[in-house]
Amino acid sequence: MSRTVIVSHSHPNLRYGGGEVAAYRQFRYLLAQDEDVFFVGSTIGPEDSAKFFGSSQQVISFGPRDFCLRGRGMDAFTMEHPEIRDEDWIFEFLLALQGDVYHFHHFWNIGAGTIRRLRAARPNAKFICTLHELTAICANHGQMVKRSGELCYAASEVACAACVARPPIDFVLRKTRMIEMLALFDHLLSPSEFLRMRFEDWGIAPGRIAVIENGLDHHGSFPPETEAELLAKSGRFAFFGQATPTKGLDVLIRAAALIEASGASFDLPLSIEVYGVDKDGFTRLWPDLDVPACVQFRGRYRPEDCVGIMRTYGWIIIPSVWWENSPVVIQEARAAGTPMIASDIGGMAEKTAGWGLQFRVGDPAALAAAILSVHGRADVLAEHKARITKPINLRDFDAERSRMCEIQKKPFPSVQAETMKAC
Amino acid sequence: MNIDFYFMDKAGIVAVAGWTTELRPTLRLHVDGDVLIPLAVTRHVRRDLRSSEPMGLIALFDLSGLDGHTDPEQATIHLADGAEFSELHNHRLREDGGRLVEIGVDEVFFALLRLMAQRRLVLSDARIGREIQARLRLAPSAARETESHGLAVDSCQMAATGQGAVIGWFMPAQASAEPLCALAVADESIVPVEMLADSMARADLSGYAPRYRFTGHDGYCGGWRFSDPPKGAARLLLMIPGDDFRPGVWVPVETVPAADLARQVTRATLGIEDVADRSRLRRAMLPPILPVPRLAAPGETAHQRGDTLLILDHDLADSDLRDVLRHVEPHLPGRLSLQLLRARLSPVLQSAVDGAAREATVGLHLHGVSLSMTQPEVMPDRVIFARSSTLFQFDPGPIFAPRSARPRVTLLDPIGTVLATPDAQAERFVRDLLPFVLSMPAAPFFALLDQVPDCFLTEEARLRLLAEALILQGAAELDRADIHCFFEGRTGPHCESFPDGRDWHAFDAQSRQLIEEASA
Repeated sequence: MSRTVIVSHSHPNLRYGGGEVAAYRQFRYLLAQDEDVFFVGSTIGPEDSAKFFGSSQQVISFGPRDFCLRGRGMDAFTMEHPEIRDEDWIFEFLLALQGDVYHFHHFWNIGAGTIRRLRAARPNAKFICTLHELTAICANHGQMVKRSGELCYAASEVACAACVARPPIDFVLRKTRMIEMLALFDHLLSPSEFLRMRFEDWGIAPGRIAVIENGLDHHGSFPPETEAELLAKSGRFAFFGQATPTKGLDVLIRAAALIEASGASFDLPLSIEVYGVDKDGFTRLWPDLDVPACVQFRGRYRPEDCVGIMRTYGWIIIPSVWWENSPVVIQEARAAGTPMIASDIGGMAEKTAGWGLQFRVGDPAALAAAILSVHGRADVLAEHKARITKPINLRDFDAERSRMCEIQKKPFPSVQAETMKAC
Repeated sequence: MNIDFYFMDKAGIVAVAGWTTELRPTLRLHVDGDVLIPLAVTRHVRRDLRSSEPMGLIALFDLSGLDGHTDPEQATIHLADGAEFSELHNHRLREDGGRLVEIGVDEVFFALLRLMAQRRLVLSDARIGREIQARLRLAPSAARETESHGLAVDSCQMAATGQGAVIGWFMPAQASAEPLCALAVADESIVPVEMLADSMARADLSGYAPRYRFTGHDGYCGGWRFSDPPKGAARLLLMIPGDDFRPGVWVPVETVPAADLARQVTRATLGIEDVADRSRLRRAMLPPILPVPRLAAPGETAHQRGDTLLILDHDLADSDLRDVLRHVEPHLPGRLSLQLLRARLSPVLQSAVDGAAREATVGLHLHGVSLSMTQPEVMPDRVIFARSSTLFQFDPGPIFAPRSARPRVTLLDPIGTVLATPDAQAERFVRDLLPFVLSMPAAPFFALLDQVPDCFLTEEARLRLLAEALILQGAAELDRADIHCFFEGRTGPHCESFPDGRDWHAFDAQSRQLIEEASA
C-alpha cells in the first residue's frame, strides 16, 4: 500500500464541521509523516461553489495534494448526483488519483454511484469509510430526530415515511442503496460505540464496524490547579457550539433562567458563557427567549484556541437534543482537562461516561439542577478532572487505523516539503 | 299514411317513414301471423307539405321479439293504418335506409338522426355512415342561443383512443318531451352519444330565468366511443329538441391526452346527482365487452440471444430508476431494452438511465418513452412488464432467469395459497390489483396484446387482462413472490389522483368493472 486518498464531503478551508476537520487533520498528519496522500474535499453546494469557483471551474487546489471540488448540491435522500456528468467528473477525478487506499469521511457530495463505480474500477484498492453521523439511516438530516422533535430510536419504512412525508417504498430503495454502498467498503469505522450499535441495529452485520475515535492533537499536561483556582472555576460554565436547534442552546438558556428565577444567592458568582454563537444569532433562532444576566455571548472563536479557552472554565456544557456521535467538543474538553455536563443520550452519554455529569436530554430543570449541584464545589470539580483521560492523538489514531484496516505504510518523502509549505 | 321509406336496422327494428294528416294514426305491423304495435312514433314538421303541423312521421316496430319461427327477411310484412294495408317489401327493408339518407327531405333525415342519437335505431354500416357524413358535411350549425333555447358546451374532448365526453348546459324556453341528444362523427363513423340531460346541478344558471326555463339541474354530460380510433378530426352534433329544420349545433371535438379526459369525466361525474347516471357516463365511453385473449400456439421456443424488452411503469422517484435497472441488471442473460411508461423523459430519468448504463455489464438502452406500449422493429426474445416498485421488491433472479419460454406471472398474493384454484386466483388477481410481473416471449406477447382493446388509461390494465386470461387458461407458470413486507410506489403519472381521489389504476379497475357489469 502506498497512496492514500482522503475524501470528504466538505473542505475545512470553506466550512468547518467535525467530519471534514477530522478528515483534514488525518491528511495533514499523514503528509507530515511523508506519506503519499491526497485530500479531496468539496464545496457544500451551489451557493458556496458560486462564491469560490469560476463558472466552468471544477476544482480548486489548495496545494499539490489538496483539492476542493465544485459541489453541485446533492439531495441527501438519494445520495446521488442529479446529473450523471457531475458523477462522471468526480469519478474520473478520484480514479485518476490511483489511490491504493480511499478513505471516505462521509459520502454526501461524493455520491453512492461514484463510490460504486470507483470500487468497480479499483477492485484491489482498500476502501475505508468513517461514519460521522446517521445520514445513511436517517433521511431527516441524519440526526434520528423526528420532525416532530422527538428522538427516533429506529428507522423503519413506515415510521420514516410518516416523519419525512415520502412514500414508504422510497425508504426501501434508500436503505437498499445505502447498505449496498456500505458493503463496498473493506472497512467501516465509527468514532463511537453508539453509532456502531445504531448501524448494526439497522442492518450492518455485527463486527463490520470498528470503533476508533477521531484523532486530535493536543499538548501534553497542564500544570496542576490550586484549590482557589478550582473554586473559582467551579462557578464558570461554558457552551461551545453552533446556533442550530439540535445543539440545545435553548435548553441551556432556559436552565439559566430557572436558576436566576429561583432567587438563590451565591457566594461564588455563577456565569455561563456561550462560544460559537452571538446574541443576534441566538435571538434569530429563539426570538421569544430572554437571556438571563448570568449568560454572556462570546461569539466565534478560532478552533485552535478552543482547548485553551476551555481550560479557563470549570465545566463545559453540551446540551444537544439529538444523539450526537463523537462531538469534537468532547475531545477538546478532554484535551483541556475540563469535565462536562452532557445530555444523557447517544454519543454524549458514551463519551462523557465516568468523568462528566449527565442530565435528562432537553430538560432545562434537570440541567439547572446539574449546574447547581457542582457550582462552588471545588472538590467535585477536582474529582471529575482527575478521571479525565486524554483523547487519542493523531499518531495513535493513525496507528490504530492502520492496524484495524491492515494498511502497510510506505514512506513517500519527495512531496512532503512542497506540500507542507503549500498547505 | 303515405309511406316514403321503410327499412330494418341491425337490431331488428323496422322504421317506417312517411306522413299523415291524422293526429294519432292507428298503425300496426303484420309480420306473417304476428301483429306488432309501434315501439315509438315520432312526428316532425315537413316544409314540403306546406304546413306547420307535424305531419311527418317515423314509426318504429321491434321485430327482435318475434319467435324463432319468423324470419323477418323472409316474412310477409304489411303496415296497417286503420283498415288500410301496405306491403313492405324485403329488398326495400334492406335498402331504404340508404335511400332516406340520400334523397329524404331534410326534416325526415334529421328525424332519423335523432332516432340514431337516441339509440332507437342502429344504422352502423360504413356505407350509410359515409352517406350521412356526406350529407352532413355542409350542413350549417344551428345557433347556440335563440329565443327558444340556450346551449353551452363547457368541454368537448376525446382521447386518441376514440373515447369522448361532452359537458355543458342546455335550457329550453319551454319544457319539451324530447331530450337533448347528440351524435359523434369522425372519419366514416357515426356513433350515438349517451346523453345525460338535466343531470348536473347548475345553480349558477339561475340568472337565465325567466328567459329560459331554469330547473337547477340544467347541466348535461354525455359520453361516446368510436369502435376504432379516429384518424381525422371529430365533431359532435348536438340536436336541439323541437328544431325540425336544422340538424343541430356542431361542436368541434378537442383531442386531449386520455388522462386529461378521464380527469374531466371524473370531475363531471362528481357533479351528476344520480349515482346510476354516473356509471352510464363512464360506460358509454367503454366497449360493450372485453375479449378473452388467447395464445395462438404455446410458445416453447428457446431464447436465442436472451435480449429482454422491459416495459416499466416507473412508479418511484425519477432518480430511483437507476437503482431499479441496476437491481435487475446482474440477472439479465442478454441485452436490455427499456420501454418506459412515462409521458416524457425528464432530465433526472435520462440521468438515471445513463447512470445505470455506466454501471451495466450487458448492453442497456432506452427503447422508448411513452404511456403506450409500442412493438419494437426488431423483436426481442422476451418481454417483461412490471411496475418499478414491484420489480425492485420481487426477487429478480427467477424473473429474469432464462428458464422456460412459457409465459410466467409472478405475483404477490399473501393469502393466495388459500385460494388455490385458477378461477379464484384470477379473480383475486383482478379484484385486488395484486402486484405482478409478466414475463413471456415477445412475439406471442404482442400478438396477445393486439387482442385487448385500447380502452384503459394504463397499459397495466390491458396486461392484467392478458395475464388473467393466461392464468385462467393454464397457459402461464404462476409464481408467488415470497415477500413479507411490500410497498407500492406512489410516484409517476399512473399514481396521480383524479378529483375523486382515485388514481389511474383505480380508474381502470372501475372501467373494467363497468364493462363486465354491462356484459354480464
